[in-house]
Amino acid sequence: MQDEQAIRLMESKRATKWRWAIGLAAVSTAAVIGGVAVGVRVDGDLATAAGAVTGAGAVILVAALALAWCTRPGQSVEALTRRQGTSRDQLQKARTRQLIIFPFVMLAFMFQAHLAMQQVLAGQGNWGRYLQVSLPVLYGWVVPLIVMGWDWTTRKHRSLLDDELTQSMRAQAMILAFVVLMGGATVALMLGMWRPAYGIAALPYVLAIGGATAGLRFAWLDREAERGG
Amino acid sequence: MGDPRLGSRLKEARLAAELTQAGLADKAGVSRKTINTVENGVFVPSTLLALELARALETTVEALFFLKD
Repeated sequence: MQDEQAIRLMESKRATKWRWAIGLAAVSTAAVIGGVAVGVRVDGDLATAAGAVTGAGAVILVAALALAWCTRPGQSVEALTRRQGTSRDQLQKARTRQLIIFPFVMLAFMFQAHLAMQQVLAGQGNWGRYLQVSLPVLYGWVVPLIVMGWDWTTRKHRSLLDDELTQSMRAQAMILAFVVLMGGATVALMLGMWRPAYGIAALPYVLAIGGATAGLRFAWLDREAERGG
Repeated sequence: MGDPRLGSRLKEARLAAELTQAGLADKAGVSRKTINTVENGVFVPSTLLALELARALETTVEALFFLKD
């Protein structure tokens, strides 16, 4: 009886999430279309703002579609219950999902940042463009913070999220990220010696790719451990 | 993470105790993935974890793990 109640509760929560995802997808689609429509008609700061709205809309749209797919109706109850493990497993799965989604969000922000960086390097920087350049860098920081367990969720559930296997996967992920970061910084330095502007333009990429590497490597190891070890 | 020198009888001991991976994970206070990777020789547990697993299965560490020649 308790199981049936739990399943009904899970189905209800899943349906609510699905409705939220569809609503969010509709709003973000409108933002993308509106941003493009306005962006092609105006110049200057307004065009930058329209670009930011389009980019943010695209990112949210991708996330909303991913959420809608994961919570789509019609999945069997068996599949739903099979996914329910201990809270430790659920929290660790949620962390892995986050570490997969964030690098893709970063990629979308990177596209915007590239355009904004060109404007900044041309001496046409403003707060909007600085913010656009900073966003992928910010995500570049957030991902390794999650991998390292310095985020709020891990601090709150340290006993569940910081087990021995996690520490081992964390070390491997951060080693690879460090190597990528060193390689990227070296390339940025060489570019900078050749054309200083290229060196600066490469830095957001280096930081974002370094951060993404930590997240994706951790998620990869986690999935491997989940499957067959 | 793994080491080819380490042999494991964890799976046999777990099955003998009629426990699932999730059940053993719950008893030992680790994730199911940890049990999975230890059983498959992908992850070498620390002394502490080996002792936790032995306690959860009511056996000794030596009965669970051994050095391969």
